[in-house]
Amino acid sequence: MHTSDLVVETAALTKRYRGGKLAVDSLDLKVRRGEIYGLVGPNGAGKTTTLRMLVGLIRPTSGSALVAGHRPGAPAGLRKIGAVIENPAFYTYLSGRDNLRVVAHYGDIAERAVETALEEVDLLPAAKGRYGSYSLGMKQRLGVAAALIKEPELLILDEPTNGLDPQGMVEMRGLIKSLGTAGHTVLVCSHLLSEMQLICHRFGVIQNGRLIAEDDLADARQAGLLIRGNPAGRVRVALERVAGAKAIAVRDGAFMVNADHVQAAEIHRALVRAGVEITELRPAERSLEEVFLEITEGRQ
Amino acid sequence: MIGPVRGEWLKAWRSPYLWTVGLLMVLVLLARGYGLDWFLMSQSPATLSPANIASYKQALAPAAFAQQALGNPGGVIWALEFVVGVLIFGSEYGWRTLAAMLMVGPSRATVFGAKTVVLAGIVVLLVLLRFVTALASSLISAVTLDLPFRLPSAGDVATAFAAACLIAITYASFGALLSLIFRRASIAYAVGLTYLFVFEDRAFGVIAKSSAQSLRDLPTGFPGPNSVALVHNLGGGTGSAVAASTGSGQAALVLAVYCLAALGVGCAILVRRDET
Repeated sequence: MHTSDLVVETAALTKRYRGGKLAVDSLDLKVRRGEIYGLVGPNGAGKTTTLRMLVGLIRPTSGSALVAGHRPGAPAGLRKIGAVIENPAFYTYLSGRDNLRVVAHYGDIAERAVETALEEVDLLPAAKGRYGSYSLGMKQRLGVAAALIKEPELLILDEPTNGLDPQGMVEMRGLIKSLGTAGHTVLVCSHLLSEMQLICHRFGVIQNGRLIAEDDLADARQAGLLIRGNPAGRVRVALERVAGAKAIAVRDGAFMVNADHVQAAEIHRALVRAGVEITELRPAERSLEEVFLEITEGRQ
Repeated sequence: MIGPVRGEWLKAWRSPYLWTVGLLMVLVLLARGYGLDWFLMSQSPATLSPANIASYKQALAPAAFAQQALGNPGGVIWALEFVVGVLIFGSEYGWRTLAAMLMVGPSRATVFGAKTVVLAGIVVLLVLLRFVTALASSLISAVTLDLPFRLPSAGDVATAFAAACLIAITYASFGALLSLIFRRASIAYAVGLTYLFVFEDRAFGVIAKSSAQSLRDLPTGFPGPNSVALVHNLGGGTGSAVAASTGSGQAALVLAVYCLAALGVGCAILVRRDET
């Protein structure tokens, strides 16, 4: 992959805090342009420390990183990044609009971008209200608006659905997905795997500060083919003939065949030839949670 | 730099906390600089000695407004100036907004510079507010107590104003530095106000009366006694043993060194430290 296709690229990025705690250990992370990349891991795995290093809030102990083509924290790079790390933080006595005006001034951004950003996160009706009176969901949306105001190449969002009610989670998820399809690169970090499963194109698993796995979400979730048919005995015989006995398992009354979707047509033909009545044949998927547990338990 | 300064100015101008500090400064000046003296002069002049009456008339007259604005409220005003420094720098930690601002784009040195420019601007405005309040109060006193309407020379006013600004920015820088060191406004207040009211207000006064020369000289190295000296030498305040022995030039130099040192160390901390 050409380096310019990567918006985030780290090499052996390491952070050891004073006191000796190793928060991030030789992290090699690559986020491609235009994708929604999910960094998942348990609490304390090093996700937020990684994000803080990427935006220059903390300095790595060793290793290097390039973010939007610049070293972390360089003003030229920060202008291309919109970030909300941990909870959004704004001035409680200012209105939502004035908080964004402060951000616009800081970033030398035209003030008209404030209205656009407020509209994008559906906060225009509440823009005059004091930030201190906002609900958690509104605060999160204002945080995203502040990140969007720069029209960034890269959005870094840390636990964006944290504390939101179900409606707020749906809205935030929709917003992130729309940003991903609008050409932004999104690096999103969360321990809510069900949310990440609905948002991300690719994901990395971080545990004890190390990136222990990285994959396309669709590939990782693939769990073979799920087949139901009658009579079951004849289905098994036909499947054993085409895929081998070791590739077949039975779960909840269905046959799970360890095969990819390319083999589906061949299996279908074999079942038809065997005179089986096929009631269901589809790719089986695991949840991201199952994938995550398999990866992390395998490491422990 | 202009953008971040505009951002900082917007925050400061809309801050109810800074407006409260400004109001407190006016109240302190009115109460300690004019209110009590005016009340005594207007309500019960018969209870005052001729010397007291002369002294009050001199303090309340327009000719003394610059000295009143510069020094009469003394340490309380300086404590409020320290609070301004904490509010502008330390509040960011309370709201967790510093990291958010650092991620927007400007370099950390630019962020520090913008905050310092706005801090200086706010401090100058607050000093101006004191001078305007003192002028208005002295004119009202002149009308109600039949005092002469003679104003001090523009040079005297300018010198007093500059001295007040130097003292104010020194204390505000002290507040900024403690906020950056402790990353928490509450601890900065605790440490700073303890220093101001225990050491500068009490301990240095006691030390200055010591029989040992080396101990007597010790306070001359600290901002409080030099602020008192500067005020005293420009005709304001009540003075002290240290004030009597310290020239205006030396006092101004010591304050300027403290101010620059506080800002320099503060900038180095902000630029170099991890913001977790």
